[in-house]
Amino acid sequence: MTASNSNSKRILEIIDLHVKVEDKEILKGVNLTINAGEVHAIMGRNGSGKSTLSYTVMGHPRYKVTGGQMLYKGQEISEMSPDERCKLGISLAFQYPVAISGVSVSNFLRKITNSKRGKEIPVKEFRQELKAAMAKLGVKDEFLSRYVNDGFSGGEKKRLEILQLSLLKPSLAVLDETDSGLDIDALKTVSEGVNALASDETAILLITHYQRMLDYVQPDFVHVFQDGKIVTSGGKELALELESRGYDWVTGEPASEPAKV
Amino acid sequence: MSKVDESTESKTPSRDELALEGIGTDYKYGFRDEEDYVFKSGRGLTKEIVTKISQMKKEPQWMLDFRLKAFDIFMKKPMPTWGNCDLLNDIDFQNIFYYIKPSIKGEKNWEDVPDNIKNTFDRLGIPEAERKFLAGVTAQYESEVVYHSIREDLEQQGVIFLDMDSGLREHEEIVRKHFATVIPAADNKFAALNSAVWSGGSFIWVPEGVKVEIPLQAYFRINAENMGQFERTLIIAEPGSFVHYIEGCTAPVYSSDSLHSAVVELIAKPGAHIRYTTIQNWSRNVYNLVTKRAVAHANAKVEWVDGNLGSKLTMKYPAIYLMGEKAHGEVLSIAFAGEDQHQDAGAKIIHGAPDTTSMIVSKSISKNGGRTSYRGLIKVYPDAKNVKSSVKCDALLLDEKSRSDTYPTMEVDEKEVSIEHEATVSKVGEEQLFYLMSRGLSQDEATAMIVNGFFEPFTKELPLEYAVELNRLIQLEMEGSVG
Amino acid sequence: MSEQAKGPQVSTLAKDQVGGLFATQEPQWLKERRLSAWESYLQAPMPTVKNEDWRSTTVNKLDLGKLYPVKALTKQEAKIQSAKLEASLEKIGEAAAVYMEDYATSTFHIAASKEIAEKKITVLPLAQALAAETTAKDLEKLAALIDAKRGVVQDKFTLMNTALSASGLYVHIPKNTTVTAPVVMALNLPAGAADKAVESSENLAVFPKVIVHVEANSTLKFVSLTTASEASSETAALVNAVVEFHVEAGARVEVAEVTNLTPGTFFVNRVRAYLGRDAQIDFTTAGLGGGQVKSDLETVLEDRGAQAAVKGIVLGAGKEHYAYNTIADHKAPDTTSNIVFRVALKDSSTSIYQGNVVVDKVAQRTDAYQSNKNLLLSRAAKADSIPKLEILADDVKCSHGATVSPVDRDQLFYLMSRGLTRSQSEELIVTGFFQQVLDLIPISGVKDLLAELAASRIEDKM
Repeated sequence: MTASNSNSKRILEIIDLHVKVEDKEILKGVNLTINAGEVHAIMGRNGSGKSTLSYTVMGHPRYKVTGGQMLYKGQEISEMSPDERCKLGISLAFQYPVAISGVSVSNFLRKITNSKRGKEIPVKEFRQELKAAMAKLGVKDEFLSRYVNDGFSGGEKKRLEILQLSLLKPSLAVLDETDSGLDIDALKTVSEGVNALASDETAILLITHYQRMLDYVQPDFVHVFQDGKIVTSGGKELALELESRGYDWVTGEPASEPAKV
Repeated sequence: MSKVDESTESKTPSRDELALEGIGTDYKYGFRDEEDYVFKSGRGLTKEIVTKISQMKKEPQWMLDFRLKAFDIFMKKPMPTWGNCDLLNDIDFQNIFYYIKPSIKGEKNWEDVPDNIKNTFDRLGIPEAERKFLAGVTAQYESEVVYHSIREDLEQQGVIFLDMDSGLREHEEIVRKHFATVIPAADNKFAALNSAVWSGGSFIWVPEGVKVEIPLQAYFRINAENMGQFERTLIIAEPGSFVHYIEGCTAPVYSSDSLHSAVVELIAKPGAHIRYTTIQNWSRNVYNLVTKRAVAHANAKVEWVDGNLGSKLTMKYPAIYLMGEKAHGEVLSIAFAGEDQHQDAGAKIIHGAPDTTSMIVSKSISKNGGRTSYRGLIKVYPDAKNVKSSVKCDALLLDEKSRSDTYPTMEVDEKEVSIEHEATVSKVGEEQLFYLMSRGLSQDEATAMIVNGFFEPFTKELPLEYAVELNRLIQLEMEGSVG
Repeated sequence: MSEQAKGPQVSTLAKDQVGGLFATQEPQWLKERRLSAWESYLQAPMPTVKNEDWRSTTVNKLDLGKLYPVKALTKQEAKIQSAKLEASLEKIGEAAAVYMEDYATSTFHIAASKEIAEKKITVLPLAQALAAETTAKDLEKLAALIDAKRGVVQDKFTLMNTALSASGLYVHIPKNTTVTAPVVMALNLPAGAADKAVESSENLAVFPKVIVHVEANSTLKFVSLTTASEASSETAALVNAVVEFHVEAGARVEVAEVTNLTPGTFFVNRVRAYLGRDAQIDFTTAGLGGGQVKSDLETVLEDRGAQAAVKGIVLGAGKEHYAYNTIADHKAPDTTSNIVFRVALKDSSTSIYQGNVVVDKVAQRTDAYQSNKNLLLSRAAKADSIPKLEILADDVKCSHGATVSPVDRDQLFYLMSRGLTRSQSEELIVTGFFQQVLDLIPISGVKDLLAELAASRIEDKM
């Protein structure tokens, strides 16, 4: 791709984004540009607004954009419904996926895949694709007849999230704390699933509290979130710095608790 | 191949695949036929009409006496003073046709059924369904059964599956012994009305130990405006036998109302098992006021699987009297009420013997100003020790115009029991909707998916074709429903 | 009791006598209300079991021809005569004020702490409140407010109370005022012979009316005891009470009422609490004795953010019958109700619990929970439960649960394996069953009192 073509490489551009939840301002001027082929990580303390950013990108109705712009491939998406955004190519792996009782995983996966691709995929073809994706993520067959997220363990939920993303094939995958609640083996498999989403045409935005997933999914850029804003950005070495020195090192605030390892 | 194939193909997905094909936009059974009848009574009800019905059917004297006595009870009994009295009192009993005879007699060959009626049932998919999976079919058009068949092997085992009129003619002794023993004419006003003017319905007798593995089916169709359909069904399962009976109901859309008031009696003798499945999808001008009751003797099991989608007002509380030790009763029901509809449905379980158990699961959805009410009774008589009963009612409200009521009653007269009741009312969760929409489903699709999931405990109890049809109906109801 | 304290029998009471029963200084508006209520009363049918609201509570045993409505008590007694009540009050602990009507001795008693006067709080016998200008004005205003509200059940008993009430209490808390100790009201009735049943009772009919007005951002603890004294030749056949709580914006009221009557008494109790914006009520009721107890507890959540917690314990014995009906009326958005009702029944006692949660169209984001558990301790006991929901708004979280069961066998086995007898084990289980409710009571003295009363009833030949 040539330099003159750089705009077509732009996946997400967030300019001075302000977001309120129930009259409380959570995002206070976020700026972020993500190009195709890039992996970005957003790190920060709990409550810093990281998850708000992921919900806002996906269009949760409770998160109201009160200022700024949110462009996906050059198109303003702030007013779009979540399904429209999904069909454009944005997918979110939820931190806390909700249960939909009575709806089987297999039925659900087929329905969202057909809906995203805008056509009925023949059952056989879909089954092959599904089987392959499941094998990669170490998802057991019995999964399919269970109800969506109903009685799932933390790890099972995260696997199902990544399984959905691998079927939806988003251009922009947003992963919200996907590493939490995973043991080391599960973390490896899930990370492989995330890496499989990456290509020259796609981008990944990884939101995390800890550095540990970044050992498996190598970020090109790391941003530190504090009080609803990105306060500093850097390469992947920034994540390691954060891990050893804690967030106070970046934010300059006195330590309220000792940095965790 | 591994389990993946099985579960993706044979379970829920294939149901949904079928359900999502060819979705229309209207009440698809709303068409009507030209009227072509052998006999049509005048509007309103008189002693003469009751006598005429009995004479035309060439009934024995005891049945005529029974009808006339019931007629007197009907005239004397007041309307119920509970439930949706506004709608109930709108019924104009003098504007109804109580008996309409469409063709000569119940045919055994589909080809012999008059063309206009045949076309109707073809459009409703009845013979097709029979070819696919049924052991026997009855089709009732207005007051009379027009088609009837049963598989030969069942007939050879002695299973009787007839329309009620033929049942009375051919097996008078069995009918006389059991008829109206579960629901006497004086039970309620509508049971009295049915007892006076009943016509058609199914008569099933399963001999001792015989298990009818595939379902028997009946299909009820009202065609004429202001028609009153009063079928009467009696199912007797002799000791140790099993039968599954399914009924479906539709009617055309008219501007004025019709009345469907059936009486269904089930008798499960010791160790017998009866499952009775209904998918009621009457058009929105039908009053559906039905009395359904079963008696379960020792170790017997009765299940009512009851789906209520159509009608203007449905009042139906399938009951099970557990009269023998270790009898078990289940009522699994769903109700869907849209604009101007009131589904007043529920269940009644009477524990009259020790070690009897019961379970009620009720799921209801109200939408677009519709109202669903669950009305239930669990009664435990003294000495009915070790009774266990659990009731679970869940209601989903889809908009702020709709309404849901729960009126359960527990009357417990015995100490050694365990009775539990639970109910919830909620709306479709914002988080669930967002989750599904973030996967690319539109709001309608997402809502329909949640609704189908909500009804799933019911749907999974239906034969495949019915489950598919039900999902399709729900999909139809949900289209364009959320803004 | 002296004959002067009684009026003519209820059934022979003529209209022109209704007004004459009461003090002449009653305001005109009240006289009119009494007369119009009396006229409606004569027209109103006696409730029967066919009446949904009166299901399984028979009133036809009540012979109005044998009832004499009491006149207002005029004789003040400086000390409380009943030892039983004295003991109860001691359990409750320090009180801000105590008001007592004793129909065993035809006297009343009133005492208030310094706090009451200092904070300009009013605690007055209703008759006195009606005679004084400011308080009478407030009472007139509250009566008009209620008239403007729809949905107040005006059945024969409510009308009877309006027409004939000669006793009761008026409590008024000005705004931004906190009363730390509880205001206690006690009603002591002649117990009658122990073997008297409702149908054979004669004599007294008492019509208490209690009006509690808590202005904005104030708090009040209120305890009401309805008891029967140890021995007396007379029986109060009917206690027909109407109780109103007007809880204004941001105010909080904690209420505990204890019913501890004898088998000869029929108790009809109508309690309504009106809750303003962000107002709260925490209401506990205890049914621990009485021939027939028919109690309706209605919380009307009239404005945004109002919260109602209603708790009940009932321990039936002998042939007692309890009919409790809790109504949570959600009329505004963001309102919360939480109802926990536990019933244990001994001997051939019976109970019917009806619970109704009504959510109005506008009452979005209502959060309502209703739970009713029934423990049957005897084969002859009978428990009915009818927990209802009527939901007209869609954005709600409403649920209810109800159970009826005997004492859990595994629990029983466990305790007996530790050496307790069967009845000791049962007593312990029942105590625990109630304790889970008692733990939620905010007034600590009441918690102790109820634990003690329940314990003595549990131990009583179980």
